Amino acid sequence: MSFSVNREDFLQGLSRVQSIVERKNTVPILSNVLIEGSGEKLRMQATDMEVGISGFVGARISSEGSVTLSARKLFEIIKELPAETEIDLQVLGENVAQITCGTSSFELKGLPSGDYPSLPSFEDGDFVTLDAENLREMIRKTIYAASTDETRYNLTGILFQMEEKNGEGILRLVATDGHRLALVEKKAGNVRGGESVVIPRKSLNEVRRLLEEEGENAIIEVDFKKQHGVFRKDSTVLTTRLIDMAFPNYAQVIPEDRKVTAQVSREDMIHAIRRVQLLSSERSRAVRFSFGPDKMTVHINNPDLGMATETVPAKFEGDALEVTFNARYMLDTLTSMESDTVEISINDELSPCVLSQKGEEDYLAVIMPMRI
Amino acid sequence: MDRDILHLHIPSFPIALARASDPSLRRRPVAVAPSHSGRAPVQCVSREARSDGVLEGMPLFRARRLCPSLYAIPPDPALLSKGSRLLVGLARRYTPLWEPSSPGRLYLDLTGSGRLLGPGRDVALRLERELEKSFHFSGTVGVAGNKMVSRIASGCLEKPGICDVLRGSEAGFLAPLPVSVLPGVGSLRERAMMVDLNLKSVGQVASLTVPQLTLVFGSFAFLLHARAVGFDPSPVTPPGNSPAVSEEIRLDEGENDDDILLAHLHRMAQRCGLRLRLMDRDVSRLELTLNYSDGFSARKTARTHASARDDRNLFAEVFNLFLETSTRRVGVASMKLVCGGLRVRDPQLKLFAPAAAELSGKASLQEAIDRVRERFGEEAVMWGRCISPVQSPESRVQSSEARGGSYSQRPKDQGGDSSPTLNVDDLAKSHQRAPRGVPGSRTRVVSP
Repeated sequence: MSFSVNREDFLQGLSRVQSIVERKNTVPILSNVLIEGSGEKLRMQATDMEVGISGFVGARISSEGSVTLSARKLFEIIKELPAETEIDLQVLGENVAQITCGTSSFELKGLPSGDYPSLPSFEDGDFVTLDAENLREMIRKTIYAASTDETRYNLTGILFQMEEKNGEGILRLVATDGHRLALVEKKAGNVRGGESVVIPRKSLNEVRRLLEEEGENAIIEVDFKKQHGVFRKDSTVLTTRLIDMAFPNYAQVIPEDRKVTAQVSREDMIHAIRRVQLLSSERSRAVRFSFGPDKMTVHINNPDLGMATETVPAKFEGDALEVTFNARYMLDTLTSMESDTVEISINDELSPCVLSQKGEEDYLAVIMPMRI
Repeated sequence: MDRDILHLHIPSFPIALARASDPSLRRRPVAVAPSHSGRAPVQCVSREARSDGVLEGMPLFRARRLCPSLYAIPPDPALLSKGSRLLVGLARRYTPLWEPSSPGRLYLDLTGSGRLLGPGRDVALRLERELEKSFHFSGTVGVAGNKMVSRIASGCLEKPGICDVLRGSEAGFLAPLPVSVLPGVGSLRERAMMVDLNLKSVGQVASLTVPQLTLVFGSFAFLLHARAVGFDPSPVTPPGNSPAVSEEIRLDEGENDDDILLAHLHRMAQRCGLRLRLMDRDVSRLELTLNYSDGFSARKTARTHASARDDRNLFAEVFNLFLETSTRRVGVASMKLVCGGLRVRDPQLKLFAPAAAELSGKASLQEAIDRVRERFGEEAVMWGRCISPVQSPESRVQSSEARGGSYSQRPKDQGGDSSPTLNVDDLAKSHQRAPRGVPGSRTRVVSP
């Protein structure tokens, strides 16, 4: 195989696969990127067996064929070559690729392309079309709450739920790590009702990255089959293995009755928590919130360091209440919101607290307090 | 830095204690065995009785047949406990790093104290002389660079004395010894070595590689090889580093009624729970020891779930543990419950735990009960399952909040004296026995 390709196009294709290739090097070929040249296009594919991506780059193919090369080394080489140049790549045999650009020449050893694992096929898929911007926002608002604890595997993914409500398609994303929960739902055209899958956190991070790329279309196509899901944007296809475990019944932990409600400026609250948490202990990050008439007080008393108090004006309904939260959980939730005012609802100091954007019902977060 | 580990061993410790308090037992063949039955097993044997063929575990009547002049004395846990405290007191004079391994055995870590105390063998000699002079104990002392070798060294001596193994010569010292001296090599593994592999000495085991040993011993191979060459990195851990809360009860007459034993056990769990809550700790491991009146004892350990410090959660855990441990019909003479693996409670509440409202209610109830007990005594409020169907006399209750196995004793809590109206009889009548296999079917709380 030999081809010529524009350096910027090649670099973009390679940068897309960098975060997917296996870094642990347990299976050597998974550290490589598969490059296939046919027609006028260069196909690049990478996988870590959980998530896989394949995309096309325009190139002048002199002779068709395929090779797998170290994704990281190839990316580093191409990045160091001069900008706006043409790069020639030729496979010499024995899986050795010669890369030339101007006066530079490299020979990079690879592995046989026949050994590279194939991605599941979705050629005859029944794709659902979603708005790319909407989906990106939904992932951003939920992904922070997904667990990173591999021992709770079912919580390391995000619930991707499609249902029909009053004749309209609804897409709902839910993530939880067992201490907090984020839920967002939006209208989504022609979704298939009753479909519910759990997508790994890493895969949705890749989807989010894909959605952030500029493309011809502002839509993304989605399909799920047995244990795999696929996201297709323009010519890039991202496949992912689904988490084959039950997601906890999230609806039961969202309280319906709320005795205490406070409306606070989101920005003020973020700044107050950031300042006060400077004195919190590294381990617990516990910050005490006092809700009272017309104000919310954020307070911390760390015997080792000292104490800090900050008062934020608030519209308040209910009986005065004091409750402790992990400052990081509060900040993650507040920074994922966009509205000027945030509504905080809680029943008592041991019950889940609901945070929502005032006037917007499509997004809510639930945080469990701390028992101090 | 080379480590200096001493292992002090007083052979037949219960007999040595009995001889210290009763000199007439010296130079006589003595055995420790419960005296109520001729079938009771012998628990400990003196050197004189052993020379006549008497062994531990042998029925008393057979021991008497082998050694007609055998003098049998009943087990005396109080004396054993007192003797252990004396040994610990002696060890504390030399180092704060001491670890009891079993009655009459003690590790001392003297690493780094050479300039203060002199070489390890000198300390061992002083220790031995002090034991002889103060308590008339004669023991053996092993001195080595680690715990395992020092223990084996102390066991090598047939007569009281000191065995000092030079640092670096551990493998050579162990090589001629039989494989059974290595920790973890029991009868099964010993048979596997001797019959299948013809490995009789530790040196032969040490000469094999780990992959070769893995074929026979699996994952134990690495540890076995390390031990065979005399490597043991385990530290001498003072008991204070493994905090635990424990309760112990002795019953005058052996009790084999499960309902009565469970009532006692639930009371012990209740007291442990109260102390755990005062310390604000969660328990992650429970250990129950049942000492039967015929001298046998059974011990089981169980891991607990996250919030097992509230009374009702503890009751459920100890109930299951009791069913696992109590497998004999012989009367139980004493029970000991140890709550170990104490850890600070995670303050972050969980979303998918039992409903927060339910948690809140349970926590409030437990707090209210604790407040009442604090004010009016332990018996002011009792759970129904803590009340025996027939009250059996408790001879003595030992209670130790063992931060490191402190041997402190505390008299039975008499808080009930100042309690307001307490109608235990009514409670006892209304208490329904739970069938075996089902945790206490009914829980009653009586407010004063």
